[in-house]
Amino acid sequence: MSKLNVDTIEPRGVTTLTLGGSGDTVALGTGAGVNFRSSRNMIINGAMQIAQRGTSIAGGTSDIYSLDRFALGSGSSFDFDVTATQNTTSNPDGFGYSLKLAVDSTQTPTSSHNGDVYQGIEGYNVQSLMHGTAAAKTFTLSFYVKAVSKTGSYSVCCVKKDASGAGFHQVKEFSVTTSWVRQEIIFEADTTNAIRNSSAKDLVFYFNLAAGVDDITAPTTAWASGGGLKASTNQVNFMDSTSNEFYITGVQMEVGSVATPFEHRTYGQELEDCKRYFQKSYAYGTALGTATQLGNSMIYITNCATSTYTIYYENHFDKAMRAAPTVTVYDSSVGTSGSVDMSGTPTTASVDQQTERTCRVSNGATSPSSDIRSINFQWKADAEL
Amino acid sequence: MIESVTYKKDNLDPTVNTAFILVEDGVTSSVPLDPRNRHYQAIQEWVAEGNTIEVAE
Repeated sequence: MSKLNVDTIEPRGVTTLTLGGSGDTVALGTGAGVNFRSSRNMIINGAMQIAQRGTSIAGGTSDIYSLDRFALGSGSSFDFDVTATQNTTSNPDGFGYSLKLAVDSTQTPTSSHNGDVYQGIEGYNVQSLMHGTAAAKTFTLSFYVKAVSKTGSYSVCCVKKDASGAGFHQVKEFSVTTSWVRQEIIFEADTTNAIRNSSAKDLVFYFNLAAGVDDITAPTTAWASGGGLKASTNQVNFMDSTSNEFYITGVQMEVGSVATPFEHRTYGQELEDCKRYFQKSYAYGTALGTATQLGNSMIYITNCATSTYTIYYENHFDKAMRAAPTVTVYDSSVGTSGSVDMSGTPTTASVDQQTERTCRVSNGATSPSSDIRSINFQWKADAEL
Repeated sequence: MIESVTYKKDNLDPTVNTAFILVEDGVTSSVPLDPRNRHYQAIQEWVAEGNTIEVAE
């Protein structure tokens, strides 16, 4: 076997390299070099594999997370009355899942209304774009999309924040048909405005489904001021019929001007990445609020001196989260939120002192006199953007 | 939709607030006093709209 040891491989006047005699090629973006490294996809759960909150989530008049890392967005209390499900059938080759949106009641957006699906990205994870410097890079968003009934022009808006919190946006249009089509959308480099380097929502992609007239703008070819969501001029109203369905999967964002093949990561890798933003004690497929002790956090001590008691439990998360999370505890015996099972009795929970790794949980009310000390509870922790 | 927000006092030192107790869409949660938390941010917006955080008894 021979070994190739060179500093540069440079195609002659073309933008692809042909590998061997098979005809397989590697695309090279202009000035971007070979961009085929692992971990190039800055989107988490782009193949829609992870659904810790459940496989069917209803949208409404405020933002709510659906499949992990993908939120249903509602602007100006627009009733984004859809059901988002993890779709398992008729997906693009190589994909087991997609995110499906189905309209539950028709809505007409006005003024600054909007309904969308979005993913926010921490600035920590996009500094390689080098925005705000002379070496700023373009980046490419790719995804597979199709629709039932409501085909036509849709748009995606990318919003970024700089160190001062000022927002900038770009809007791009794409056409959706009844067949899966991979969209490849290039966002321009920005040598002027940096992207904030923080754990906040510093870069966001909004896939627009409906938008009121106040948020409509022509597609952009450069970054424009303003951190609010924008939709393109030809944006359809997906919410105009209960027959409408929208499907998306294989979402990838990468440095450069070429959409490389989707980077498939293992299920375990995706789940671990998602846990920076959301975790739960329940078994993966068990719905939040289910009455079960399987997997719950528990203290149970017998043969104590008979007396009242308060238990303080330092609850550890599976891994460090993005920020101190919102914690919801559920009584393991009845499933009620804000409650723990205290020796078999539902009792108001006391939860506080969250850090990225832990929180403190106790029985908020003093127990009856007993020789047993016990609390049982399930929990979820939310540090989403 | 936010239904109510109440200060959560430290069990051991009731002079200190340690979290918000948030009731949203019928679910009760504990929100840390961390500006990076999205529910903390939502509570600030809710207050800016004229709503009031209740003081724990």
